[in-house]
Amino acid sequence: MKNVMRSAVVGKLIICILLATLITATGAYAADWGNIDWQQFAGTKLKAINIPMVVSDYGYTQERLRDFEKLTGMKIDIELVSTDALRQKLLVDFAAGRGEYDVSSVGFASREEYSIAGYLEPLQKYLDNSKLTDLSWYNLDDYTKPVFSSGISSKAELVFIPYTAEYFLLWYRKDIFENLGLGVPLDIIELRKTAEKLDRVRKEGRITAYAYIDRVMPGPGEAGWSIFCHANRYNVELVDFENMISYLTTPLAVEYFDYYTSMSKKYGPPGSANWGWGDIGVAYKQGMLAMATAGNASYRYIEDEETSTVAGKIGYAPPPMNPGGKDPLWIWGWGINAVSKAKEAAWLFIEWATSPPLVKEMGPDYGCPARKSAYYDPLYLKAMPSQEFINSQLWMMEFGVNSNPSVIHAGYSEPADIISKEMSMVVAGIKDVEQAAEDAEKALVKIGYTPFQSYIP
Amino acid sequence: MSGSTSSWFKQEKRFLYLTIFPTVIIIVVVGLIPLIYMFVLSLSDFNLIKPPARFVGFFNYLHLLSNTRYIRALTFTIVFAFAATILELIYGFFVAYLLADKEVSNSYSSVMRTLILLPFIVAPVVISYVFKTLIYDPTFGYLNYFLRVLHLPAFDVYQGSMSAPIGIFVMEVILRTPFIMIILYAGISSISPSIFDAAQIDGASWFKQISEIIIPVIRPIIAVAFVFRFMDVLKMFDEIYVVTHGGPGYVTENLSIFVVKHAFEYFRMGYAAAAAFIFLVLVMLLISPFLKMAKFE
Repeated sequence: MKNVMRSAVVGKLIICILLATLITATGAYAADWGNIDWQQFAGTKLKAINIPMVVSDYGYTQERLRDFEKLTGMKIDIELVSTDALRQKLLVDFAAGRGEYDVSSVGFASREEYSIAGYLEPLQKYLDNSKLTDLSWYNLDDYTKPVFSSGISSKAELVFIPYTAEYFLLWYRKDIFENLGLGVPLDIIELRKTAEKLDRVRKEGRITAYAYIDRVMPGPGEAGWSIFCHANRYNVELVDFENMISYLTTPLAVEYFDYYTSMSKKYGPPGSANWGWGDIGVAYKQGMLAMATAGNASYRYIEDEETSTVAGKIGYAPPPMNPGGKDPLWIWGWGINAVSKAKEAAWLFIEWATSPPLVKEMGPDYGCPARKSAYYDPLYLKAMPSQEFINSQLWMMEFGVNSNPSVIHAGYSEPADIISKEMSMVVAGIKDVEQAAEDAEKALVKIGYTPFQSYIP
Repeated sequence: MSGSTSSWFKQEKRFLYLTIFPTVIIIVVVGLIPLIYMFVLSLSDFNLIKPPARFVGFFNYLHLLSNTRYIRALTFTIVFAFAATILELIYGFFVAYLLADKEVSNSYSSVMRTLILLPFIVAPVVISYVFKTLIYDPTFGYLNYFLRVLHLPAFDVYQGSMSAPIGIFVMEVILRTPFIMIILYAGISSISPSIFDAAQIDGASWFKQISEIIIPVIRPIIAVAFVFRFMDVLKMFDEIYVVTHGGPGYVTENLSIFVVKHAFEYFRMGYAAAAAFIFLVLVMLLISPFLKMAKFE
């Protein structure tokens, strides 16, 4: 009798322990990944496309993608292509209506191109669907307003969720600046003066690094983007894409073009007029440059101790700006193809990929997470090159970026290409700035733009 | 007897048509149908970021013919193609002539031909990056390193309006002459040595041998080599895109770069299709005299 009673008590104890474990485990699961059924689309296969930068090595690694597959029971296949190829492949897929890619990385500059044509699925309804999103866990307040609103198109639709927040920073050689007693330039005038001093010192043979470089290689993704970002910091309008007005021959624009081209001509290494970002990065890593304005997202590339001779010697600061100037925010976000056959499943991928725990986990790997909380995480603080780098980023995200730059427009590519081509001819010594500005404006007029002087509202 | 011969002939003909039928289907599917689609596209104002397409007739063609950028690209393409192909023919001919000389041993000739062919067999994009960064670049490249050592002026493809075309031209000739050399070598080698022996006995100089024997005999081969290279140079893309991106400015922008930019950077598909179609017609007009020359007598 006693044995039977003992067995019953032990049995009940075992059942209680098992139940407690089950409840605890379920509770822990809910605390990490919100209160939704991640398995609701188990068995679905998703196809995505992205650039390699934040995939493969630094962010959405194969290991993390397998975690997603375990969490959801879905399969995800991400195709990695270059930035140019991403845009081309996506536009061809969108235009053909094939829906080959369910989810895609959307660059900020492409937001309007895709959303105006109706290629991207509006995401608000997925955020509002409590079966798909646990809003209290997902926490939209964790984004700064400029960063989150970058995903809202001119049609007032949320079309992507950001996962990076990028902008230009001034990269400067701390060692050179300390040796020469130079201060970090805060505005355009100081930048020019600092470049002049560095150039003089280089010609005297005291340093080997060239003072400053920026992109001159023509193309909307190379010098085109750099010219427009600098123009934002210079606080000059070059082109009103929406109303198709050209300001290229205004005195301020010509002054700006003269500044941009002369900085490259005078202070860049020989042959740098034909360098893309890749060549600039290599030159910086080899210690050939004292200053450059480059993206915060590329810090890891430059600070790689195995391949960079200047790792640990780089200082970071907000890029010099004129009063009223700001740097255009650049975002990579995840969006859903409007003709995808697995939109809700695709939303679960986006929710996972931009979730608080994952962004916090990935933040130390790629340095520019879109969520604020990631910047205060101890692992992030430990992984970043310096507190100066973190502070510069936090300052930029709050005060230094323009989250609605006019350059983010569907019609950006052709004018940017035209302007960058004309400026490359100035740097090559083929024509002067005034002629280049005039010729650029004539070319814009041929594609439907109106010169500012002739514009009648 | 004649009945069975005629039926055999009909069977043979049917067999011939059957065997080439798959090839014809492939040519129609991958050649003719895309061509027809391209022409239809060229009659529309189709912008990938501003759908849908709108029929505009020949508006794109008229606009292109008054577009100075297009005319500049067209002129550059044709002039560059003629100059490069002619120089490659001359250079390739003399290299082939030297290697085919009976005084040159077969093994030496074989080794030299293999070495000369090496740049030709590497992917164009790869070799273009080598030229851009390791050869031409004033900071990273060894061409300017040696120019500095010899106290000669630097060569920068992105300075002035002539450096970039010259740089592309030299690169093109170095990389593509081997192809012509190999074709002409085959032609020269096929001439019977007894003809040269007879010519020597008659006192013909090397120049006479070239002009009176070799060139007339291999004239169809020269024409074929010219046509192949000319068509290749006309549609050159990788080398220009990698080395100069068509710059500085529009200096090295050829028709391929123009079409790719309008199609895949500006997304004006209809306009780009019209540009490509005009080019296609022009190429056919330009090469038809050479195709006639290539007929074997």
